[in-house]
Amino acid sequence: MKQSKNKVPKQGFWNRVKNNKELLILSMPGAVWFILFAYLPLFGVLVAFKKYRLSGGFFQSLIESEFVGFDNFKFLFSSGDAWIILRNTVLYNFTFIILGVVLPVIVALLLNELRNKGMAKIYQSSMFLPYFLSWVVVSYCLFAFLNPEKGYFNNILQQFGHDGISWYTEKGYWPFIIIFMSQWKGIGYNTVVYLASICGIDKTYYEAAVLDGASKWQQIKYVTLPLLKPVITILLIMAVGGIFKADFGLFFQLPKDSGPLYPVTNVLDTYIFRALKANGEIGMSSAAALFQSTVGFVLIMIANKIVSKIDNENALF
Amino acid sequence: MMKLKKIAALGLALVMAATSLTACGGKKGETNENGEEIVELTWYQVGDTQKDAQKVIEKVNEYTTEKIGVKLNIINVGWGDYNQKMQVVINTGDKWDMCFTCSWANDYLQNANKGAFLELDEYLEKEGKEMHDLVDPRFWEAAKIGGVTYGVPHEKEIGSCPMWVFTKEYVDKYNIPYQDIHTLEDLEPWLKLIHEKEPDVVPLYLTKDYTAPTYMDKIQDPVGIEYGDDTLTVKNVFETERMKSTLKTMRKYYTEGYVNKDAATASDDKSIKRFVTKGDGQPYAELIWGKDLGYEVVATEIMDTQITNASARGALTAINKNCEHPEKAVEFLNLMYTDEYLRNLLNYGIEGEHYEFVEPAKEEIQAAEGKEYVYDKKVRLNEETKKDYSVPYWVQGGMFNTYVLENEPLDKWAAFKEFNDASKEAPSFGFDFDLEPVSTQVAGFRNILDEFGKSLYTGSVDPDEYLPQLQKKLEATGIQDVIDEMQSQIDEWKAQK
Amino acid sequence: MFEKHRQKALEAKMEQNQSKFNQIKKPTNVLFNIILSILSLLSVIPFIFVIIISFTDENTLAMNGYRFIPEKFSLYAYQYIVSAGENIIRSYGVTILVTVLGTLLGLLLTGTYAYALSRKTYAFKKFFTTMITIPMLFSGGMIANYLIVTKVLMLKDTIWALILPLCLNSFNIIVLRTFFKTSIPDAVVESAKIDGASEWRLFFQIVIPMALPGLATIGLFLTLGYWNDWFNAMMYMDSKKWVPLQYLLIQIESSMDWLASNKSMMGVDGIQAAANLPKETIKMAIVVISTLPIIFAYPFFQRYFVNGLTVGAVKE
Repeated sequence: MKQSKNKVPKQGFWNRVKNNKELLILSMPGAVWFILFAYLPLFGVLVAFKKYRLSGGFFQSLIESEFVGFDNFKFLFSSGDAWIILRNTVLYNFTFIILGVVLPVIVALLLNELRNKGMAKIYQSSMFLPYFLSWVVVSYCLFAFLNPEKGYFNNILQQFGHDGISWYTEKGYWPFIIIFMSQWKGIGYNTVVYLASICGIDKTYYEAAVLDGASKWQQIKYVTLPLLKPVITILLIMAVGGIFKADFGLFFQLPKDSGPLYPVTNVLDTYIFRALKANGEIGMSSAAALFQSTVGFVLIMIANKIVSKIDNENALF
Repeated sequence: MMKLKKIAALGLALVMAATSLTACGGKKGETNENGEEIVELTWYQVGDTQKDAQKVIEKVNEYTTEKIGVKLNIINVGWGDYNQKMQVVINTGDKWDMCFTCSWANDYLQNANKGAFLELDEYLEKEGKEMHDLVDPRFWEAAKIGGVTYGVPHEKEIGSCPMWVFTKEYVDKYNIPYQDIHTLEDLEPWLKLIHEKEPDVVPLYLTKDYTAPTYMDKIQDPVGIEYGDDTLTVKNVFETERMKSTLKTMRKYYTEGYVNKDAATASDDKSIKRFVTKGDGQPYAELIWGKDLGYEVVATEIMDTQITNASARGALTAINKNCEHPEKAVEFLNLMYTDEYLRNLLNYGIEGEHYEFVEPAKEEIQAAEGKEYVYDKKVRLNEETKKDYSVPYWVQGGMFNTYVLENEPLDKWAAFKEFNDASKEAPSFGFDFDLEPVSTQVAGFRNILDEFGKSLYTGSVDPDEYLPQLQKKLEATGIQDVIDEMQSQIDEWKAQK
Repeated sequence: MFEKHRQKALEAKMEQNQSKFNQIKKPTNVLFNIILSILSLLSVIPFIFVIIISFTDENTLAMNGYRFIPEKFSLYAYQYIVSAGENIIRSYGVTILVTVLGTLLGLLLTGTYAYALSRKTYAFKKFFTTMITIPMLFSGGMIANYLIVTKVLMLKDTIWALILPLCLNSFNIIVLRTFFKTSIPDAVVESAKIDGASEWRLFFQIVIPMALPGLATIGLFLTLGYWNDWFNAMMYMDSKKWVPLQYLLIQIESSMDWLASNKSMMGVDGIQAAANLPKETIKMAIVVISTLPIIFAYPFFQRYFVNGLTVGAVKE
């Protein structure tokens, strides 16, 4: 990396363009897309600092609306529960990030080692199915099990002489339910990247390892995992950016928006949703999104810095 | 950094140029037989698109182009998407001429305050005069915000009328004088009776959207003015004696086993047999509830029907402030409010295809004679095609012009009129709260109310323990600021009145 | 010399393992199979549940709630869908068209961009990486996007409004870049360069074939993204010409949900509106018919990341 930088000594801008002409052309279509679909709309973040009022078209309105500084952000912290909500968001996401790497990697390794490839395919396809069910549909299915009056779980409990559990008001169970369901839904999807990476590993590495008498476990430890490291690192860095964002359906639909569960299910996205139900102030919703993004951005930068300190090759940039 | 700014400025300029270019579109040149230029009006409505909508609109356009030189382009947006979609359409200054608005979707007050809607007063004296005269003046009063009218109200039920809805089977079986039952407390002996005699029946069936009987206009939930309080003192509903005792009673019912255990999270499960439940009524609502449940019900009012801003703004049509042909839009609405053919076409579809006329029974005609809004025919929907065109009648205004369905009473609209005339205005009727100075505080309320409200209302939790918690959180979020602000606004409003 | 030696040693090893080279032991295999079957079962059961409900009688569902073995079966939901025929078939067509076009276009754009970024000698690497990092987090929001797509790009009510907004995203580019970096040895690229190959040829003839698992992954992600998309349809399709399948489903779902949660505000009107909506079993039937095709399409991608897994892949 350092070497290649030195190889290209300070050139003029146009010289560099000339030397990289072909690659530049390859980058162009994507770059144009990003300008059109990602950068042009960015002016929208200005709304976060405005008290948006209509006076003609959007731009005229935007310009003529009163500038209110950070007023639109205040509601995020005005609630007495702000601390609990932030804590929930961060803790859940932290757990998701860790499990989102560990579980899929394990499953990918298991699938990879299976002797019967036919079954591997079937397993892998089945695990993908939950991905297709929306949270609303999943919440109906879950309700069939947890329904306090006639759900399957309480039926079983009662058959063994226990009292039924009022699942939708007992908050103790929900951190586990939420974590379980999120992993259940995502595992098939998340496994794919790792499976493909394992697939892309040059087979000669394993041959060499076998020659050296490496056991299966040693092969995983010294060949597979180190070669998965770049992908894992990149995915981790990107996941860190989303630490303030929560999957709305998971926290809203799944617990059926049940009040007594709020202490463990209220996260930033559900809080924002409820808060803005009362007033459709678009400045406030942009402010909330901007807040989430900014924190994510700072965290990504930090994570990237740390990674590049340890191993520059695997950093995001 | 400078460079970045320049690029950003350039980009913004480009976007602006491009958008302003397209702002003035619209077809021109077409004229109708009278030589009027034909204007196309884009009309956003809530509710799912109907399969035969295009067919019906063609028919409508045929008629309206000839009559007033207007063509409609109706865009339906599904219930769940309407708020979001309209927020985008309105805030981007997209092309739209008319839209459905009300107090519970595509919020009327907010949008009017934001400057999205056209001020209609001037037009209502000319193009909209007839329709202005037709609709109950109290609807127009409710449509006014700061003295200005921003929407044309649809004359549905004007007040909110919470009711106890009893399953007729048990009322008959135990000879229950249901008409004498009004307050929550009145229910007690009968709940007890049912609880003892009918173990399979839930005496008081409640679901998560249940609100205990509230004797207050919650202008900004949970803050408002109590019904009958002419001093206009702003209060937090959870601090009123009435609510405190209601919650205690609810708790008692819950612990006695009168209420279903999962009330705070339940959504209506029709398979559950219930003796009584709560519903928000209107004339002949029993018929609709009964049809929905599959058995007969009877209902009684919990309290007098009260008119509040929210209840009287149950459905309106607003016109875009930037509409190019506002007079045409008003003219069209006026036609819809006054023209039977057009209104019924929009409501039921095409005669002979989606419905046919039937003669009402002689006795019914006689009984309804002399009443207002009674027609000499009823509508029978075509079983085959009715699902291809079925719009809720109140999404468009002028519904007193619609014929009634075969299974509806002939005097349905007369009953609506009577109902509306009998409704009382709440003391706070006509007052609009500008929540801007306290929008931060208000944003925090919903989370707190959703967290505790359902459990408290249904009696699932002990109010002695949870009410103080709720109060504490509301105070931490700044409820006093909201009360103070509202009090000062309402004092000012009172002084001007 | 060394090559030969290695080959021999390998063959010896393979014989030792009864020609099953480098496999896990039988008991371990059984254990792995058990773990994976449990996981698979957990994933399949809810889906079977959905299928069963789609075949349940509507009244039975209302009476008993969701049951694995309903009292009464019914084909009503599917009959309803068939009778609503043309809409559903048209939407199927739209979804397939959008998915195929979008995936191809997306792969091309993602591939070229990611390839350029993966090249160590690319002088503008940092610039173009930063360019995609910022939008990964910051966005102008719904309203600004709407304005650009409808007013600047003029895509409202065109099929491109369903395709273009989804064809590229930073996540896919970065994942693919990482794939390229790890699965294509520098030596290959450099030797091709020395042979005078242009970057185009390098990309299309060497990189693409070598990075098939990676491309298949991104292709799968894109396909799923398009297949499940409804938001763009909600935003940009006012005419009903291009309504994808998922939007039909989501509309029913969100309408039902919304009416249920706003019951107290809408009173009797809400009940009437809800009565006009398709019933729950129909919703489940749509889930089933909208998911089945993609399940059948899945193996197409899968073979690139499951088939060629390590064991069999020792070059024959």
